[in-house]
Amino acid sequence: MRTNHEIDYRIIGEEMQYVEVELDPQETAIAESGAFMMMDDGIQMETVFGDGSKQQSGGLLGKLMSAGKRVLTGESLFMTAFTNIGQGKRK
Amino acid sequence: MSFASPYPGKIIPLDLMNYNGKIVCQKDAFLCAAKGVSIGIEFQRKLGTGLFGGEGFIMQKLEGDGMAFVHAGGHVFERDLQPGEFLRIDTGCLVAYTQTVDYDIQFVGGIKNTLFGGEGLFFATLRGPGKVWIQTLPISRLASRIISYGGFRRKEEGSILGGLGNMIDGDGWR
Repeated sequence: MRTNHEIDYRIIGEEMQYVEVELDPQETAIAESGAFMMMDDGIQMETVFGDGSKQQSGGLLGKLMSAGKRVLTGESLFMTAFTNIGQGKRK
Repeated sequence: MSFASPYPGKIIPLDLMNYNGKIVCQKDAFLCAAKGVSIGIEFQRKLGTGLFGGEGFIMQKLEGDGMAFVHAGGHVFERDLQPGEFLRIDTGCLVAYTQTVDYDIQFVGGIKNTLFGGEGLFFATLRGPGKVWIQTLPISRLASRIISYGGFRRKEEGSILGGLGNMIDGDGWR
């Protein structure tokens, strides 16, 4: 059984692609900041510190550690979380 | 919602559940993922791989059991390595590999290869079992080619007017 959210997706385009993610209500996807292109009504965007995974809920220090590590890999400190707060599937 | 890749290339969907919960990929490859996927760093423990592997000491690891999407340049293909199967690739072309793959480097060898080969001094080597993803066009390669066309040196257009011609086309004064 999966513990992570289960998202549906479609990859569109040939050489310049984008991925369209479909969320069930209360599902969340996280993305690298700057990658966002578009979203339906009913999806809420929130900037999160670190990657928002559950393993990181170990207090402020744990969050700082994991975010600091992300800077080393060239990603930004913050990521963006998109949550479907509406009814039904949204893209 | 939709997420676009930042340069020409392919988006690779990775279901981490199929890869024992972990994939190691090049820095900056991550695009988006389901909530719960953790994006961390993977240190290269081998000194040589860190220094000369082209990806540095730090790579990205994606852990979890959901979907993750990574992006790489040009065409991206995956290759299944059998146990013990050995593959040498350009250090920049490695995108991602599963945790069972052994990633190392190898000196190209030979004086001519080293001095004039133009392929760098090292290959990345991958030993199976496991799955690897390879890109045809590392963004740095594309960038260096684009830069060579920029600035003064106009290779494909422009006239004997030179700088004045650039000014007339609106392509910049200098």
